[in-house]
Amino acid sequence: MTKPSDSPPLRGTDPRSFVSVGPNVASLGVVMNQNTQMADGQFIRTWYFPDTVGSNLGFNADRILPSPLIECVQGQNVQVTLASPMPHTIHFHGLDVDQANDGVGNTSGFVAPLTWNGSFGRVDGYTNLGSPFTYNFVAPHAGTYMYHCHVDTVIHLERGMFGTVIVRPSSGQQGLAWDGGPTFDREFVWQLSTFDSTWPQGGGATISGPSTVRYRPDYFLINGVDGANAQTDSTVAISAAPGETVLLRLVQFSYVPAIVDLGGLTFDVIASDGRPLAGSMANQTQVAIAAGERYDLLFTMPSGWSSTATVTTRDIRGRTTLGSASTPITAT
Amino acid sequence: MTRSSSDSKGRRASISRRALLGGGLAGAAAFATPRLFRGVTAPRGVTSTLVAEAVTKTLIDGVEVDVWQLRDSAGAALGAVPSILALEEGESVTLEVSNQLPEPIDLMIPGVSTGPTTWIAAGASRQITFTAPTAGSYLAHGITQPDPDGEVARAMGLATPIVVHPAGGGKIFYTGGPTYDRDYTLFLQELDDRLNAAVATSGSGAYSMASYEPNYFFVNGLSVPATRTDRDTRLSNRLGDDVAVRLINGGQITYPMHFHGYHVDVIQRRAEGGTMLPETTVVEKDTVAIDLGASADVRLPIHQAGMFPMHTHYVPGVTANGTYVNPYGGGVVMMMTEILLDDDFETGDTTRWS
Repeated sequence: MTKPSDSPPLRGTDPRSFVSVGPNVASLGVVMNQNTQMADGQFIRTWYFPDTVGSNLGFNADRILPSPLIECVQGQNVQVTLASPMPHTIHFHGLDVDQANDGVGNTSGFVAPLTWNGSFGRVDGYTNLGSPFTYNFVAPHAGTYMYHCHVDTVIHLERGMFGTVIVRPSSGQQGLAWDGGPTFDREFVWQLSTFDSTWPQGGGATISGPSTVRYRPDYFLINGVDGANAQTDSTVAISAAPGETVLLRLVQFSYVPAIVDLGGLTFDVIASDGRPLAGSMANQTQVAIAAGERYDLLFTMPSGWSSTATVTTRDIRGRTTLGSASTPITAT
Repeated sequence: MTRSSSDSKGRRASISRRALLGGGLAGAAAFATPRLFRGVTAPRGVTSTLVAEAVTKTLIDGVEVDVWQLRDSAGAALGAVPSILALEEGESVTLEVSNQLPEPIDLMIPGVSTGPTTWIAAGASRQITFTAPTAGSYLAHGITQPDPDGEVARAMGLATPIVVHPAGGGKIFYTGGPTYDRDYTLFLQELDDRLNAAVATSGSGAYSMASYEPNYFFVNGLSVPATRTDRDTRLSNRLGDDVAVRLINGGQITYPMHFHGYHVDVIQRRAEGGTMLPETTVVEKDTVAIDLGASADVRLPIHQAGMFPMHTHYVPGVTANGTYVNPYGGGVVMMMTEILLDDDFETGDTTRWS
């Protein structure tokens, strides 16, 4: 097994529209009670995991929501260190790590200061109290994954303690979906999330309860921006030269489902939850994505193309549209 | 130790019954659903009585809620363990439906032909005969005159899972399909206590589903911590097993079920209405969304040991009215199923997860 410090850099032409941390190593902290401004001026209370050895910010090193995107290489050892002044964890959603690294308080333990000993359930060899804890796992199949805090998840995940993990093929080659899989010229990730501004926003509202059981979000974000901001954000708005292939990774952090369309552009759904799909999902014009799911879309930019892509969020019954986020798709 | 399906099922039932009797609220189920006799007496040509009734249930946090339930004549004796209407493909089934609710109902089984709707008056009963359909997971639920799709009825709990096995039985998803070593059926339900209060007072037309936002959530009628000790909801496995998990949505919200520690093979899915979704190849997923009235049969390969939760990623659904069970504050409910090695269960050691 290769140690993270010996890992080869990612290879090939960089297709990314975003800045990540890695490969294979990340060091995260915890920041709580930030105020993030929505496009209409409203502030939402936000928590996140900052990249403490880099920007001290979150995704793309220029915002706090989502948390940093972590890249790693299939088959290589990954080490993610979490330092936290309050009880938090990182659950690596879909990476199928072992129990000790699963980031569930009851079964894997917390990262917390010493004063929380005994107050938050299971405290044993897995629990790290008073100093940072390093999660350790081998990156599985190349693909798209999530990470998020698994402590009082109702609150912590909704407030922004989440990010994306991309596993590159074992060669480390960028622009290749998986070993033997399709190649791509440009790469985007749309991290879908929502806020329900009726949920308590005050500093004291740090524990879930009867006021956080009914979820009817009213802000709809892609990569942490909503409304007009989503239409101009460089990590969200898609542009590519005619004939270029584009990989779009969809990650659903919201608790409610969404329908994603690219404004009439057809695409192949090539993978979901970090595994290749069969060709039965080729030539689609929309895809439904539920909480916790990921779908990887591949398309070729047509000449002269201009459309508006829309992420339409539904209620948990799937019956009612709650709102949407949209952004342009343009041939350069 | 290898157990036969019938041994396994029989023992699960008896232990769960003891847990209920001795466990007070910890064993209380929100909805009792009927148990027919899978593998024990193996009655082919199944006949059973289903009673639709209103009962008051005490939930895990002490709140009392009026619910509707379907139970069979053996259901009371078997306590609150939800049951599986386990059938074999092609066999004739007769259900005697007895309506003890205060308004007319009928029973429908989406994807199965049970004849035209025939309202069963309050206090009356009727027989429904049908042929068990293609192997897979189905749902039976009540409907009422103001609620012909049975949405309110399902929100009230008037539903029960049906599992159809291939003719001749065996540990196989469908004839010629993948095999498995052991199997679990998880019936997903929830309730919005505002709806229950309205319907209990004024009947099934008294609440608009547009206002439905549930605040209690159940698997097989149970919530955490009862799901951690019930033999039907605690997924107790051995390294190397292929485990069949049948996820059936008896409620009125989507359940995006996330497996920690494992990807599952999605073997077959049915949409609302019981129609098979086209799936030409096995798909590997770690999160499987089961929409209203839908089902998914998945195969869980136990490639690593450990204790892992499996839960809905509609995260409010792991709470009881928004509050987590210990250690997070309120001491109430969480919908979570544990996947662990069989030997842990055999020793009765549950202390490690409390």
